[in-house]
Amino acid sequence: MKPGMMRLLLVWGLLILLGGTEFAASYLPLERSWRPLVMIPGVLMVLVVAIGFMEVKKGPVIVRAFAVAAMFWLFVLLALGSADPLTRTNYYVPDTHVKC
Amino acid sequence: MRAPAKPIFRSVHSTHSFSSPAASYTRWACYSFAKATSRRLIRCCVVTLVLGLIFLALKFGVEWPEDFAHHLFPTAPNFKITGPSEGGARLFFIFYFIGTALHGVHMVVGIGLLLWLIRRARRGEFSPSYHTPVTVVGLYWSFVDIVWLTLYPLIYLIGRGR
Repeated sequence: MKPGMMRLLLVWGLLILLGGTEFAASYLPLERSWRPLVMIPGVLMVLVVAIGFMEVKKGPVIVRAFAVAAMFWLFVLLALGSADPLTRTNYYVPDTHVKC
Repeated sequence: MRAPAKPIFRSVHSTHSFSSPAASYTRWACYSFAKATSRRLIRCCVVTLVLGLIFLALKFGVEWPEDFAHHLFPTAPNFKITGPSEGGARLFFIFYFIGTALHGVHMVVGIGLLLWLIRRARRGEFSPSYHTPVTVVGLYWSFVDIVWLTLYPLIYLIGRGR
């Protein structure tokens, strides 16, 4: 087997391992405030894809800087977008829906 | 009261979770072998395309219809979840439907790009000295993959708290 192919298989195996860890971690009896920790394997998977598949480390500094910035804003976007839906049932919000 | 989350066993999300990295892996294999033969490149692209189609079929052919059947569409008048959780649950499902729909659109674009690559590879347009489109489409697939790796725990895992 070619070294490049071996490396790809290793990266893919690592992704499967981390995916399994993330899935198993979701069954831990964590308090609600600790639930975001379940995302840690997911963050690692993102790094594995960025380094293993996208080969970001091989790019020039400007490419790496943009990659980090893109990941940062992706997380900000998704975290802000999901914060309300994920916490709305923790903090009761009166029903403001107008019933006709 | 717990935050809403998609039921973990009813859906087919774990398959999504693994098909997405698999697609990315296969695509990157395309890059590695682009220097070897166009035939191998085409084969890798076809495998990636099939994995992408499986992902779309599971998400929009199985899971979404199931959600609609269970009255989980957030603007439905007969929304399934009622009581104090209703507002939060509706918000969650808005996030879920918009997030997965946008991801689906990106997947469709990616599949279109793969078809384009296959067409060009069949014409023998790629060589060891020129395979930039293969690399760029691969980067796009990996980005779409990363989006799913972020969406997946947000939708299916975090909200499963006790």
